[in-house]
Amino acid sequence: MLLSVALASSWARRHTLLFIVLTIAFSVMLLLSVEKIREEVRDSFNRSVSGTDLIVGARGGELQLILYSIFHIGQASNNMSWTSFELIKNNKQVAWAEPISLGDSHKGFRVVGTSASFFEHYRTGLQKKLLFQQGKGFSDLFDTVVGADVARQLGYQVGSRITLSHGVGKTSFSEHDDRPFSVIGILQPTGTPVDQSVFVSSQAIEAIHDGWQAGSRIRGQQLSEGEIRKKILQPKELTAVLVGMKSKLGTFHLQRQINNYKAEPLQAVLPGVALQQLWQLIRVAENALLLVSACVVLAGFIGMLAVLLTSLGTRRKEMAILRSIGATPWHIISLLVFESTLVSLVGTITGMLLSFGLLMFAGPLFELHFGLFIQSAGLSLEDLPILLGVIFAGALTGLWPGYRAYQMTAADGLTVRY
Amino acid sequence: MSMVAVTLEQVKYSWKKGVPTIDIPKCDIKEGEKVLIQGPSGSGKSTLLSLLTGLLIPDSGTISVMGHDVTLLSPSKRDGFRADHIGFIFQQFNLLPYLSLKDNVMLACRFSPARMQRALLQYVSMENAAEHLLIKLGLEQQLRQNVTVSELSIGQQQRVAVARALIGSPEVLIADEPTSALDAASRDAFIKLLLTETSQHNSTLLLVSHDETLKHYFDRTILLKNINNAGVYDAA
Ligand SMILES: Nc1ncnc2c1ncn2[C@@H]1O[C@H](COP(=O)(O)OP(=O)(O)O)[C@@H](O)[C@H]1O
Ligand SMILES: [Mg+2]
Repeated sequence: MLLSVALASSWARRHTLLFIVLTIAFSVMLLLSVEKIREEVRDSFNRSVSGTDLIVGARGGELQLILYSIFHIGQASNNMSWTSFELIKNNKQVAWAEPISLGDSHKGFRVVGTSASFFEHYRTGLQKKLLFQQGKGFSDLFDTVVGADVARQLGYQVGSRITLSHGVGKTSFSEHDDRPFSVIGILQPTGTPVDQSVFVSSQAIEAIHDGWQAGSRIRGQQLSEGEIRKKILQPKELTAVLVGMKSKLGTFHLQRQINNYKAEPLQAVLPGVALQQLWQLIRVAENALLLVSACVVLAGFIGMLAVLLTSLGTRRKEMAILRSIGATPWHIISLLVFESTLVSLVGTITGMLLSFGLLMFAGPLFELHFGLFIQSAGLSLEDLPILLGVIFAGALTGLWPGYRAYQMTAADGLTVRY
Repeated sequence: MSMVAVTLEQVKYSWKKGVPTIDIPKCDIKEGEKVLIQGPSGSGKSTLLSLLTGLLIPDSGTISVMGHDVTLLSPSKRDGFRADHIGFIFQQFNLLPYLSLKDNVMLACRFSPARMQRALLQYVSMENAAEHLLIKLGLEQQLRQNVTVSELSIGQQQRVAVARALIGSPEVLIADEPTSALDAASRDAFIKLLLTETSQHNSTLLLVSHDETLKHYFDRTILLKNINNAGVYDAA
């Protein structure tokens, strides 16, 4: 009834209203996208440590340890001894412990030295095991398993032969080109740093550094491949250990034991606790970003208010006509509230679609440049309060012009005066 | 029988404190009467009509329309009362340009179940009622061609306004200078049409104009200065 009049009236002014719809749409898009990326960053970090109970490394910053050992951000300042790793691995409460040796790279991707059982124990997301899209885990000394992104970007297949570089820079001059590896397995995508990793055995790390000292080759000390294979390759050091407990209850006890270990300065970190520190660090930036988005939404509403109030001038006659045939002040107010609600609703829905489109389009770019894997572009339950809030605020925004319109009709009587 | 349609008693209204616009001790208009109200511009004719429709409330006095004291009704009752009993025609721009001619006519019933009921009783459907009225008012061709409001001439727009004021047969029709935007020929045609239609619906007609030539069409002419003690009459 009055609804169809309101719709027809809005439709007649659609060209003006379109601009407010767009303003609101863009602000909602910004708000949703910021929120989505925020969630995805957290998800993506949490995903990577889902099966790991403790991370052990040389003593230093807790956050730093998890950043370099899991996320390949920054580098370890110190290594820990292989003896300590064995001690941890043999602890009664430990279900599994995997070594992590970092420091080499392959065409910009980090090389991770670990053991073959890593692929059995590491978990991503909701306790998902690593799966091979091709091949299998390494068994030979010079086998390598590569992550999904590495294979895709460099076009590797099972059987491809690659060489590693010393150091983690993109342009490393010291190549381990004398020790080629062959790709034996390619992992399925996980949305974690695993996708950007090149895995070799801890022994292989030892082997390619044989005859090296302080980051460069020692002349004349080059062993042949046959000689290397015969040598007992016992690693002496490693970067970090990932630990899975038999029972979660033992975690704190073991953590205390490791932190108090006298023979070597070690630290054991609960991944969740360390990530919490990270969130605290970036919360300020996040909140600033959200605040900016909220301000953009606010600007959208102020724009809408301006347009609605301006439109009252030209709609004065419309209101007088409606009043003359019996419309109450409430009808007049609801006409404007309806319009502002409609505009916010259409704007919000458009903003949602724009946000989906943006994330769908930018998702692959994020993945490529930041390793951030945007899983679902869909609407999550956390977005609902934002969307409802925007629509509600839009409805409220209509109250003022509505009240002004009512005042105007009351002051006019039946004659519209300018 | 001559029932009273509109009665004003001791009605005072001022837009600005101390400067009364309306001060009418007594005025009666009989049911079915066709009355022309005349007065110069600014003398308070439109203000009087706003008071009669209940859009303005007098500072003092009583106004009763069809036996209801408008001044005693609550604001929402007043709006409902206006919807049920009064058809109003403005000087110009009576129509919502974004609605079709038929929708403009039917709009009057949307706020008044009573008028809708009467329209349905007579014509079965509201669409029928609106079409019937538009055709009677000489807009058949425009109706068939589904023209928009802005494609109509001012005279045609005023006739649609009459159809809207008549649908559901309200007891009182009030028109505020409905002919002042029309040329002489269409003005006479319009007034004749309005009088025929209101007679057929047995409605009371109150028409404001400063046009002297319209006098002979009406049962009675009221000069505002004769009933209104307030106002500036030498200005015009
Ligand atoms: N909405 C209003 N607000 C303030 N003053 C008004 C308003 N409407 C009319 N007036 C004043 O009341 C007087 C009568 O106006 P009006 O009733 O419109 O006269 P008419 O219709 O006879 O030309 C004028 O002096 C006018 O200035
Ligand atoms: Mg007037």
